[in-house]
Amino acid sequence: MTDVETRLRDALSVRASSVPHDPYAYGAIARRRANRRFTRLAAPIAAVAATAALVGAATVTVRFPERAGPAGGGPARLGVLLENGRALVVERANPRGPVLAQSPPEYGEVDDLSTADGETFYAAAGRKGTCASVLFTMTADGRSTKLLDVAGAVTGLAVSPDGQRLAYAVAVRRGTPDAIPGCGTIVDVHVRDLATRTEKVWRGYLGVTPAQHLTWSADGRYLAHDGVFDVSRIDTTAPATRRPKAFLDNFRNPYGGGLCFPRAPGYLPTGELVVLVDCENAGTDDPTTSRAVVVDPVTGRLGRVVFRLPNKLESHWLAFDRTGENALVGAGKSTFRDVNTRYNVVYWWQPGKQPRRVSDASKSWERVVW
Amino acid sequence: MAPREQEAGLPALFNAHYRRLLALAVLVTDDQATAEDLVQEAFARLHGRALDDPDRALAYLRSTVLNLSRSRLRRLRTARKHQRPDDELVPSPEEDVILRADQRAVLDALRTLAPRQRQALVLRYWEDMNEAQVAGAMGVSAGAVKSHTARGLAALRRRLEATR
Repeated sequence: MTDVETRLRDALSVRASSVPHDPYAYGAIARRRANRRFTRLAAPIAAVAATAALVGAATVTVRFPERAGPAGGGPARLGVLLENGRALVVERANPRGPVLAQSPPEYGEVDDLSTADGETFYAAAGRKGTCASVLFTMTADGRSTKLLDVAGAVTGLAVSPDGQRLAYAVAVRRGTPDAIPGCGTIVDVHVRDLATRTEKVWRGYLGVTPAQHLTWSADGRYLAHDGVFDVSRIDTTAPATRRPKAFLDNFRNPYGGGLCFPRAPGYLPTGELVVLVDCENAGTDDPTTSRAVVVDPVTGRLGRVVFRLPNKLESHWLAFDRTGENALVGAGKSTFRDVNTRYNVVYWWQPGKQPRRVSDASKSWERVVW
Repeated sequence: MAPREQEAGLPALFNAHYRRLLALAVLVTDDQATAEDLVQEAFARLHGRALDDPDRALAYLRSTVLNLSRSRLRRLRTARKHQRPDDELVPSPEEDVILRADQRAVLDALRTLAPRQRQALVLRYWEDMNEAQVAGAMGVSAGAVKSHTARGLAALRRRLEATR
């Protein structure tokens, strides 16, 4: 063996022995340099200025950020957060930014929110003390318009990318057990043409599939949603006669341990469907690190990992923007048997980068839309 | 073995081979996060496939890691050309402590080789495979392995001499 061969063998052996072998290690994060003093100071100021220009100083109160957000390139405005019936701007520098729109008090607690243009917000609110809901719009100038009353609990809501159709899922009482405790047994998915006010309805989802996190493909053809640890897809151009089947169910963790649970689908502009996958660790029911994985909606086969969250939080929702260059993920600490989350944070992801935390820990983070 | 039985064997396969596959991926890509993705994807691709014996499953995993790493390396090369100095990866504390200067020089030189040369050298000198085994893992002929290994070693020697 030559000298080069000996040295090569030696170097490879030492390098291989230094590889951290935790399956969920995230070495790259710790290794990134973070010497960006200027951008750390400049980013919050730029974010406030950009947001003020975007939403108009007359309709919102712009607050100076309480703390600096993560540094680096990207949009100042990351999305819109639903919190206690208010649509808040999520800024990089200030996750609870200015209020864009607020639901009128007569509609009760807002359950879900969706927007196609960032100006008109479609909202679903449950009527207090009943299982009835109301769908309405709200805008930044304070106007609110009722669309319709719904005889059931709305479990998900999404306006199509062109703003022409509104999809919503409703739990209705047709048997037992209830998909929404006390409110419904079977979930119907409605797609409403907002111009003609006509609806196409996929009826008869099983009660255990409450159809949450409705999300449209960029071309407005497909509507994906999750249920209880499974993911389904509806072709909205097809007749609404057959109940779509889940194409991805929970599955055994290939890394060992318990099961893996897919949830919260999101479409990339390329048409690829991405789901968040949380797996149980061996011997416990604690979640492992959540991964956003491309899935084939026909075969249910998992493909490439788009990103992973940098810690072992359970993911709740996923929102890509229209360019696919940004995504927000809500994650929290809970167990699979305890759905009451105790600790919620929001991560911002950009291609080629690790997700960065943009929010403080909170109990009240809900869904973000773009 | 039926897919369901195969599925049941995956945890054992993972426990037995994850670490070595990850090390292989790190040696051929030189990036821990990328390596983790590649190995994760290799296991995800194996999931649901009916491979009847564990050796075949391991060979499948190794080949998948190598194939994925080649395409990933091509993309990484382009990405690194446009990388800002701020985003450069610096050695992990483990690497800093463990690697001597001469070992680091060898790995730096290895990094500059073409992906197939690098893979051939890693399989030959780290996995201790013979030419036929390397050829099987890389999906090329034994002659091609001979050529990649010889050229890789020659390039490595030149670069190490140039850095002296």
